[in-house]
Amino acid sequence: MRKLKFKHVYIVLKKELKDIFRDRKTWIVTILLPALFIPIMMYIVIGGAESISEQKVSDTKIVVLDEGNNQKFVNYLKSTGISIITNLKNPKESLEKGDIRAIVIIPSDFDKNIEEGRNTDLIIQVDMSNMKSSNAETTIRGLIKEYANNIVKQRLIAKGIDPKILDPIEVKTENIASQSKMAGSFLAFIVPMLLTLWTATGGMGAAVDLAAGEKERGTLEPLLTTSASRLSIMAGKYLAVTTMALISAVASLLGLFASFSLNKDMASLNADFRLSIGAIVVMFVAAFFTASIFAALELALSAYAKSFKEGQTYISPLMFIAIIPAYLVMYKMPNEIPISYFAIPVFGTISIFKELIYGIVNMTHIGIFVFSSMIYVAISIYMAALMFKQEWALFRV
Amino acid sequence: MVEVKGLTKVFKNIRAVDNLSFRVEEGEIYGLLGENGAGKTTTLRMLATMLKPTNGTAIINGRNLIKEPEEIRKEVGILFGGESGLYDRLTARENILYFAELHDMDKKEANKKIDILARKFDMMEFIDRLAAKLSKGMKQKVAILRSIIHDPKVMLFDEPTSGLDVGSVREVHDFIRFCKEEGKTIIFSSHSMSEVEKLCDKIGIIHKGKLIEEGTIEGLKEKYKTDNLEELFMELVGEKIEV
Repeated sequence: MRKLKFKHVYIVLKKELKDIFRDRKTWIVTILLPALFIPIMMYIVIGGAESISEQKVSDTKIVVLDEGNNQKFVNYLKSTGISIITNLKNPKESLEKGDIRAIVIIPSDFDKNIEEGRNTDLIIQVDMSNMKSSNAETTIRGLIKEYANNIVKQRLIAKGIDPKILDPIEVKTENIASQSKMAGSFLAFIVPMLLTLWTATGGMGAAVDLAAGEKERGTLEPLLTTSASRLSIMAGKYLAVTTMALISAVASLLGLFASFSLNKDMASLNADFRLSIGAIVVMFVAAFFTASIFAALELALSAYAKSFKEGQTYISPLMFIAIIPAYLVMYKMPNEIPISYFAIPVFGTISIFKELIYGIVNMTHIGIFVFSSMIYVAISIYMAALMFKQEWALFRV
Repeated sequence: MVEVKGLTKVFKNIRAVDNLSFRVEEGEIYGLLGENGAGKTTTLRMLATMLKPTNGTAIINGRNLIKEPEEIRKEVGILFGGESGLYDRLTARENILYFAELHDMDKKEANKKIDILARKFDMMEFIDRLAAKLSKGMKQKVAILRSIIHDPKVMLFDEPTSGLDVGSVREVHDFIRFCKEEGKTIIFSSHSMSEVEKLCDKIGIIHKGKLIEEGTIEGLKEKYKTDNLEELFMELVGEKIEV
């Protein structure tokens, strides 16, 4: 293979980026999609969770069937703010349909039994097949427990006993984690996975277009007749794919931080969370290595493919290579990560991201990661270069 | 000047080009005539250094194809037929400029040259338009300009008129004549007898990778006592098929 000429590499890179950015698809797939992915996911997850739990008592619609005249307890229920629906013809049917969440049946002498110091029953009818109804049961139980506790207190006081006797041990939980560490733990869960996924997959579209796409459109042949060596052409294309992957990763990060700012619950975490400049630099280097390995592999497969469609078929499985390690490392705490992970592609990247987010800078781990990554980058670039050298691959029809 | 010496290309077990030898002088148009799959494109791809010959070599303007492929690329321009191979999201000018820069031309100088050539070939109207918006004929003109932007001394044409309308075919023919006037050495592949008859000074008939006959059109007609090139071709190729 002929020599690498940096001038040619730069010309190819410049042209490819210009070409890529003029394509609306690129903007959508490489920038918009990664940027919007997190905010949309958060909106769906948080919104979904809220709608199931109906955390607010006032959102829980119930029907109260008072079999006597238990005004005292009914007034208590009203005072809690729970939404009591009246004038329903068939409450049970409404419960089945999901119009209401529960029916509270108060026996005729409920208030009287309590006043006279006796125990009494209460029935809560719910539809356990409906998650919202089942959650309502927990809410109502909580309200009744509170009412019952008050009654116990009053009864003990009436007998001259301190109600504290019921709680001989008072447990206090103190959270020693700073707000920033808590923010870190949440970010450490999601950021490494996302960054790795986007750095691995962000260049896929460009990779397919830049080799298999060129073959299909008949632009590769004339390009191979220019004075630029195949190595220079490959290098320019490879850098363009790497750039796109990094842009994707940055877009996904921006999306993450934007969703922090937009969601008030997240904003407090974000405000307390800071990464040092050094950590950001190491993260960028780690992302660059990962993007480089995947860009070269994607380009090699794309150069082998006969057409755009075939290129997509060959490249898509690479996504699993990124997803599986991401999932395996996602639930590990930094101290649980085996040292060997730092020497394995993708595993190493996620592990490094995780440590940095937890504020850990372990030079041995970074060293192992950088050294092994350099070897992987070299191997993958060699594979891509080899594929660009192969007549049987480039002129496959 | 191009001198092809025993050029051979084997793909797995297929001898696509088999010991091909011919010579083309400066300002001469040499027509490679053959059916589809005869080995014309493979020959031109080897001469453009896109494919490495299995055996043999060629001397192009005094440079050896095997030993100096980089130098050869500067000497050779190639125009393909069918899809013109332009980048749709770049303008016609950007397409040409990309190739000029990859041929180590200065950007300013290349731009000036594009303007001169675009005027000459009546392309000023669409030179700054996106390639995606151009008609097939316009695209082929851009491909033509792209192939000569680095001023090659040798031009290779691989069925350059395939799929073009009558007007565009005429423009490509005019361009080939223009190259001849400029003193370039031209190798032109085609399976159209009339086209070859119209343009070429000398032809080589290629069949299954082998050169089965060569000479001037008049010389061949006289040798085979026929006025019809198509008949002559069928006679030669048919003979080979029978064998």
